[in-house]
Amino acid sequence: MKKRLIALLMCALMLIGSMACSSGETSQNDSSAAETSQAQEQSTADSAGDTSQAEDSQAEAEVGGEATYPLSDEPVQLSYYIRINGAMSATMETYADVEFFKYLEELTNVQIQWDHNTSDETFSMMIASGEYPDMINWNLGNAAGGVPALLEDEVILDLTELMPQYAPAYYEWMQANPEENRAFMLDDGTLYQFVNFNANVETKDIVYFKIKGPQIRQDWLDQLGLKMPTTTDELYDVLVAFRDNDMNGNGDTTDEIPFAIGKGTTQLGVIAGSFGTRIDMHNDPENPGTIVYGPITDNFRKFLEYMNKLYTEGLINSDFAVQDSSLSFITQGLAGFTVDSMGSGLIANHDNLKLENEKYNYVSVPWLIGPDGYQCNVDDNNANPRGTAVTTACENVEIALRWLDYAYTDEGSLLSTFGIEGESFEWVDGYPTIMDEVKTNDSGWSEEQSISRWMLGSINYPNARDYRFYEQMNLNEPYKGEIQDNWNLATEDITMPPVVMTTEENSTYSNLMADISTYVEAAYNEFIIGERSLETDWDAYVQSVIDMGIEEAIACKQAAYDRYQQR
Amino acid sequence: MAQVAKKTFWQRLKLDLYRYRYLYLFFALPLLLYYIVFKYVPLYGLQIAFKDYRITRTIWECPWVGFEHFQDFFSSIYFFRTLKNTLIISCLNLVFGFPAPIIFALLLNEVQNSKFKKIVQTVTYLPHFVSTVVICGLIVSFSAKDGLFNDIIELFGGTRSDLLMSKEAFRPIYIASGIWSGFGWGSIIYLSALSSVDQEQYEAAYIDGAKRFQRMIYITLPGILPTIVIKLIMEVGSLMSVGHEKILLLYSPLTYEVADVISTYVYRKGLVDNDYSYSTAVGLFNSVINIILLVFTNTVSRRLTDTSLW
Repeated sequence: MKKRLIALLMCALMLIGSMACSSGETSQNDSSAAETSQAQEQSTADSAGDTSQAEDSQAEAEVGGEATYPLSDEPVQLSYYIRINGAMSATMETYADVEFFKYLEELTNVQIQWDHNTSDETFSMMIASGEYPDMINWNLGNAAGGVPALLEDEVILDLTELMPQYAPAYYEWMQANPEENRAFMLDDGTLYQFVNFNANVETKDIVYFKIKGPQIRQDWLDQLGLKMPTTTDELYDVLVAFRDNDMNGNGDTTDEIPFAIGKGTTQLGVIAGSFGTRIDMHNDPENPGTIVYGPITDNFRKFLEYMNKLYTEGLINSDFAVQDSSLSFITQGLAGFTVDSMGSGLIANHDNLKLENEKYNYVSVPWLIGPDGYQCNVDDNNANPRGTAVTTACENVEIALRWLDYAYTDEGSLLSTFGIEGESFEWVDGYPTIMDEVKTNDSGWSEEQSISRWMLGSINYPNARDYRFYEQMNLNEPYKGEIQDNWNLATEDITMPPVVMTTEENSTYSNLMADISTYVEAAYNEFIIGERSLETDWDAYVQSVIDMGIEEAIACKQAAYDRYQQR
Repeated sequence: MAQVAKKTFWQRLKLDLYRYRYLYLFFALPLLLYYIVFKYVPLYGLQIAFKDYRITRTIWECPWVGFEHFQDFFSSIYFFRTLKNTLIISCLNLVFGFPAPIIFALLLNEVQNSKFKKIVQTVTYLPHFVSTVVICGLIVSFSAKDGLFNDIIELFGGTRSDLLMSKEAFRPIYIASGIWSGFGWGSIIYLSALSSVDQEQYEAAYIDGAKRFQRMIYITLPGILPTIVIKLIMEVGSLMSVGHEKILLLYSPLTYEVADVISTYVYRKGLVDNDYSYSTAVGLFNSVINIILLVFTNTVSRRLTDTSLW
């Protein structure tokens, strides 16, 4: 009796369960199918309707295809999934509070519903739910399956044909800068996203700034009468001097951290660059065009020997593998040398320390030259840029594209970077100058938070950011002369360009690399602290990485790289 | 008697349902719905363990791949490592962590001063309410080279080291901190079981000349034995499910070898590498082993002590 009851109950539960989900599933399917087909119809209708036009006026479309404002007589609503910048989330709920967007809404008659609830998890949830906003701003290349999967599965729209029509300004930028255009498209030339770049509007050039690199305490060097290190060997001597002397003058010679390292690959990676390698796939500096997996190369072994020497002699913090970041050592004034991005957070810390100790001076170091003469840049500025794509759920593709395109027009570039003329910036001798009133405030906000009420200059928003923004902001000190000179010095770039793997390659690659990188990460840390010996264990380590299938993973990257070169 | 027995189950159920209809409506129904909606309906998602799931497609559209993901896992170099670590960590937890609240409850039961007893109880509960993240933050700073643990080690003549980077120290730290944060809370169930032990037995034993320790062994312990056995069955049933949060917060590449368990592997595969099907397969494998263990222990316990979950 009891058993039969349980069995019955289970059956009932299962029935209810399966009914509930299957019915939910089918209805959802139907509606999403209907949506996508609608969107497709619309986009094909759009492109079909326009091809005839386009043929007549192709020349026109490429240079202009001017938008007329407002974009629509009726107010149009578009939803936009985009990360809110930290400085902005401190002072506002959504981007709707930025003066530039208020102006843009008035101009275009497009209301944006901002969705700032962004994270890897919400992104995955959004994709899985099948309910997309009209526009998505994300690291699309990092999505499961990569961009090809997003296109194949009809999440985002292929904009190749639509962009010249409805986003002429962005298209023009891309045409004027073929190298970037190549980096932002797929192998077959498919265009799908709008990305942020630093722009010189007059010359139509895209400008780069390096924000990550080696940094050292110049005041400590001066105190010891040492020269700025240029090679890894000189760095070693400097670090030894930092270790042996009481640099911070507290009577204790042991508390200084000559080289502060946090866990992860940031700091280690830059030193690896001096040995011509990276902690990842990279271009072989000996045979450019051949992809190698850094951690199993002989160069990497030399790098580990160097790091092992630093560790054994107490030149790096002994807890480098578990320390969250090197920042805490910097803020305590203990770090002599480190590698970091000179973000506004770090700058603020430096400023605070300067108040306590007027000699305090943290300066950029040119990329160090290794024993074999390598001086490789490993700063991956443009790998997998965050970009905005229009989804298949968007019913007003034309308006969405035109709205996005505004930030790439000459006027839009200026206003999105500097805000409203007369309110947040003014022309001084033909130069757009941020007004002092905007930089200061009574609310205790930082300069960055303060200006963010008006403009998007300091954030990664898809626009052509006027490079003149950086010339006048204190918070962006690393963008200025000396630092840029130092960090632009790297002779070889062994970094991978943002290659795109096919869906199959992607799944093979990520399957293999998930296991391999876990193994390698443990191994190189053990080599550094000496738990594994570089003399006796290195060959076995390389062999096991090969056994785990690294060749196949390299082949995937190589194929993607070759296609990239042929774009 | 005979007439009552003749009523079929359904008749009795009907009667019962009618008689206590509000009770069923307000208490049983929500609970039933909860289990259906949150525990049984999601089970259908388990099928992605046998499919090649892509996030942009519905589960039905994805092609079946059979046991491919399971084969991948069994042939992965991490299979033995994660399985071994999972078993070692939970066995250590069982051996050292399981008796702790029992011993604590027995000791507390002997305390006569009720005010002191209450204070001790409250103090020992507190760590249970501290978030895992905070506890791990404490552990990380205590284990640092200039942290509390190293101060103690140095006091006893040891040398300072970065404990969280050491393969030998990881498991002791993990187990000990688990006991510290859990034993107070875990003792509640034993304390309530203790209150139901017949007081007359104590008096009788006292008159017979049993000492305090003997009373504890021969009266108190047998009194709470059923509770202990039920807890043990449940512990063994979750032997394979070492939670991932704490390990994720404490491990590092240097301690992967002793710390990487199945749940952290599932986390990395599923949420970091987006390999949902594979991580579901691994998780399913884990649950199957758990069920087998649960049934096994329950059977053993039923044979030996007549205490059983069902």
